[in-house]
Amino acid sequence: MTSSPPIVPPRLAQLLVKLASPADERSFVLGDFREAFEERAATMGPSGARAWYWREALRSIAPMVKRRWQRTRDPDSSGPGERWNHVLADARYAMRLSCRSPLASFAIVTTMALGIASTAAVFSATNAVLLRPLPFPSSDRVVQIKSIVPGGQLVPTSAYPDLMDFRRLVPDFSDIAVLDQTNVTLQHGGDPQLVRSLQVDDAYGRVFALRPALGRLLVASDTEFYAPKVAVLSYDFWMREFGGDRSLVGAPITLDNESVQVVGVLAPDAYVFSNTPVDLLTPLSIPSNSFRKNRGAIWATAVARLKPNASIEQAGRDLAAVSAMLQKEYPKSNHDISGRIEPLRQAVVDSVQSMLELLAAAIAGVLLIACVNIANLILGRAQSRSREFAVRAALGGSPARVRRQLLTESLALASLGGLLGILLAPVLTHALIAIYPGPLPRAQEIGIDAAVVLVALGATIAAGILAAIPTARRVARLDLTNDLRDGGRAGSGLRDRRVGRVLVVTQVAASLALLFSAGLLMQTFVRLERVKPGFDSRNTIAFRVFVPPARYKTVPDIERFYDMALGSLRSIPGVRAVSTTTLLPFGNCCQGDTFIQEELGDQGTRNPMAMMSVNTPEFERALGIPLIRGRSFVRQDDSTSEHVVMINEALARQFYRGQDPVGRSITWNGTNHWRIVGMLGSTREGALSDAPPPILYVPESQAPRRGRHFVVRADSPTPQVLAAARVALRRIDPTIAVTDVATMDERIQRSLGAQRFRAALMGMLGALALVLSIVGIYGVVAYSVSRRTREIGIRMALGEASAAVRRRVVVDALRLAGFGLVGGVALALFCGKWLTVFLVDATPYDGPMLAISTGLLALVVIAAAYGPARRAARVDPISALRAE
Amino acid sequence: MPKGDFLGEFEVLVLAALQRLGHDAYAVTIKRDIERRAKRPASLGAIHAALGRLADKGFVEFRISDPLPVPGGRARKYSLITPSGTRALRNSTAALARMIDGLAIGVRL
Repeated sequence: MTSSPPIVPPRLAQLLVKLASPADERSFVLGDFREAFEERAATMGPSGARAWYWREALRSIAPMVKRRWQRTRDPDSSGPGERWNHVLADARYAMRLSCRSPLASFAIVTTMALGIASTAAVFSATNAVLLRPLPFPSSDRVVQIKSIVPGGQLVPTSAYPDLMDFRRLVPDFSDIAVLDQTNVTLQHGGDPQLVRSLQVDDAYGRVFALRPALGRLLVASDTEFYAPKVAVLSYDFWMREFGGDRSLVGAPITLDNESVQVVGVLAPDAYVFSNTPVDLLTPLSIPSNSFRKNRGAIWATAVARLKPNASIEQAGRDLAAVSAMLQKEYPKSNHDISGRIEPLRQAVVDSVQSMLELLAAAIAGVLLIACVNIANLILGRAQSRSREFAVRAALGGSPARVRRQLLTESLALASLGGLLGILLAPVLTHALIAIYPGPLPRAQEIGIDAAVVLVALGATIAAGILAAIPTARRVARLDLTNDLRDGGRAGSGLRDRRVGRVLVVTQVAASLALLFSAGLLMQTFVRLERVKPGFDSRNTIAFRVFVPPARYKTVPDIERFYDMALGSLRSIPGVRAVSTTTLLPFGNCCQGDTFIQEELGDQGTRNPMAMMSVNTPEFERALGIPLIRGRSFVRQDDSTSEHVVMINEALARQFYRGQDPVGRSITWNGTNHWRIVGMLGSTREGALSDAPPPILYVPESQAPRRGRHFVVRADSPTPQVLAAARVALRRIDPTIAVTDVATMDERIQRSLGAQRFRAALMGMLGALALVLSIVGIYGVVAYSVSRRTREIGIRMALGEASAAVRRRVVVDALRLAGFGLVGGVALALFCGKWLTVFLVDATPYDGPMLAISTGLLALVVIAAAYGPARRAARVDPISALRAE
Repeated sequence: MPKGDFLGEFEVLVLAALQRLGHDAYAVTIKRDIERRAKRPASLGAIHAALGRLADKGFVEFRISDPLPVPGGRARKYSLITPSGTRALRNSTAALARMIDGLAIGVRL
């Protein structure tokens, strides 16, 4: 006997047979198919048998479906057919009823549509970003290589020589690709522009299974240092910038004043791994004398593809083992440095995961509140139909039948709303992506697809059923005597109200949790907005400039350009101070480096680390940073004079505890004796929520840089200043691109985007919840007042004052809401724990905030109850009693 | 004679197969028998549908077997022709025989 693997029938054909066959015969039909299939497999071989299965399945569908159809129409069989007719009749009845109370129906359908649309929008984002695998073949086998550096911090980069060792020594990786993001200036058409370029090696194409749409990908020989310059364009960039010109492949383009040959265009669906969209790929070539070849330089982003039989866990262990070996071999550079891998998907979506989860939870809360409102409306309508239900029951209608009808009604309305919601969902999805602060990873993959529609349908059905439950429960306990006699009026009031009460309690609890969360997030936002950045952001504008090496070959060339630029910017009317810097606060660009305090000596990997800011004189005046001690840079600090640096207060506090740093010397960049001449105030750099980092300031003339930000302080940063600056620079060199233009105020505001988004979104959802709650509470209280007209009439006839009646209705409502508030506090604290990641300087157990939210909600309850209360107080005892 | 006693062509073939197969008649063997003798294709779905119709008319009874004595073995739904089924088969084929008797179409019964 051979032990070949079992041959299985084609899955899709099997599914067809399954769907076509009648439910009670399904297993036999499938079994017969299987048996006959196996017989065929033995004689015709697997492919013949599979083809046979398909033919047989397709031929079988028509007779089986016809047979099912006959059975359902056959009046003898009390089968699914009859039930279906009932459903149709119920649906028709539901529609007639809905038309009779158009306002309530409109409210139900609208609430449902909004709820489902927001659910679909958030799910489509969550699904695309968090749940679906990345869009390239076996993307689950690709990992990012990160490093744990001294101090236990995890950084997303590694040292290049270490990566080369990993490539050689870790057996689990089939490829390791190294990449680095840079910007280059494209000279094409009108103004020069900065385009986003990704430097990659030849393994990159293999790791991401890239295909060219035209030409070829990068190969190993491209990355050699003296190889001719080449580039591969992204499809979008090729279409946008070159109109999809096919003759471009093989032709040169000008990047950074150098001629670069375009060798290929990526396929439109190619996945390019990077934080921001990438316009072109260029070869990563590293000269042998570059600092990038140092083991201590942790700059390279690396991704690896696992071999087919390797596991992520095993690869992680092997990587750690090789790291340990490197630590022993290179104790000076690799001490306490270790490699770590992370599935690429996780690395890509890490930053937004908690945000999307928060969003999903908030939307679920709002949907729940909306459901409660719908349940309320249906309940209200059903209660005015008590007599109808009682008559039906008296005539022998089973409760199950009535329940089914209620369910059909609820589902019919919910489906209508759900359908509208699904139609509305793409609009909301686009809005969500549009208002999301910063780049949302994988945004281009977000869309309404089958999965989203399925979830929306599921949510619709669940909401429809949920909304029908209270009414169905009520019908199950019909009190025939009472209901028949009193019809639309009575029913046992207490029991009626109990269902409504549960609804109010749920609603109040969910609203409180949402309000509290919104309050916390807004508080964080407001607090952050008040944080002082450490510099004067008013009337200051900054933009970036890069001088390409092809045109500016030597340091004097670079210096000449910047000197001229600074001079002509200074001569613009209204400009008070101009400087260049490599570290612009809130400029998304930073470079850290270690230095040696000469009084302590070299401590290897434990040397102090600071952000590097290379500036021209006047920097602190242009940015408005206070000089605390010593002096700032002057023109006389040049390449021939003594090496000087400044530090900021944060650096002094961290590394010169209790000593005066001014006058001491450090070793930096391989050069001894940089003397600290001054100390500036600390500035926040990346985010207002992050503490100011230690910064080392170096004069530009002693460490020249090609790419810098210009900082221009004027009497007012009017567009005219910027326009004049552009003209001035163009006059000096028309090929230089001016990029990243924004005032310092704008930059700070932009850095608050995520907090503003969260606060605004949760604020909106909280407000929505509040409005829905008002409607819900108003409905329940108004209903209960209308049921108690007689009771109120009697009380007033017996002498109760109308003020007392009013008070009692409101107090009743508050007492009811009290349960909801208690539940809401628990829920709010639970949510608060979850919000911790988003809060700055705040605890989720914020008593005052909780008190404010609770008070606000209590006010809302009073406001919602006041209308019905006034109506109750105006009841005329005589007519109330007579009407009964 | 009530109309319901007459059978469609395919039903005749199925009943004839049942008559021949006796206690070993289920869709797979019925299919094999019809395809071998009648030399015409018979899909499993059509056979199941026909058996269902014949059972509605009382011509066929079903018996569910015990699961087959192999791992994951399935139960089969065996069909058995009833006495009224036999009668219907006889009536239909006799009517057919009478109708074509003496016709020069190259078939000899």
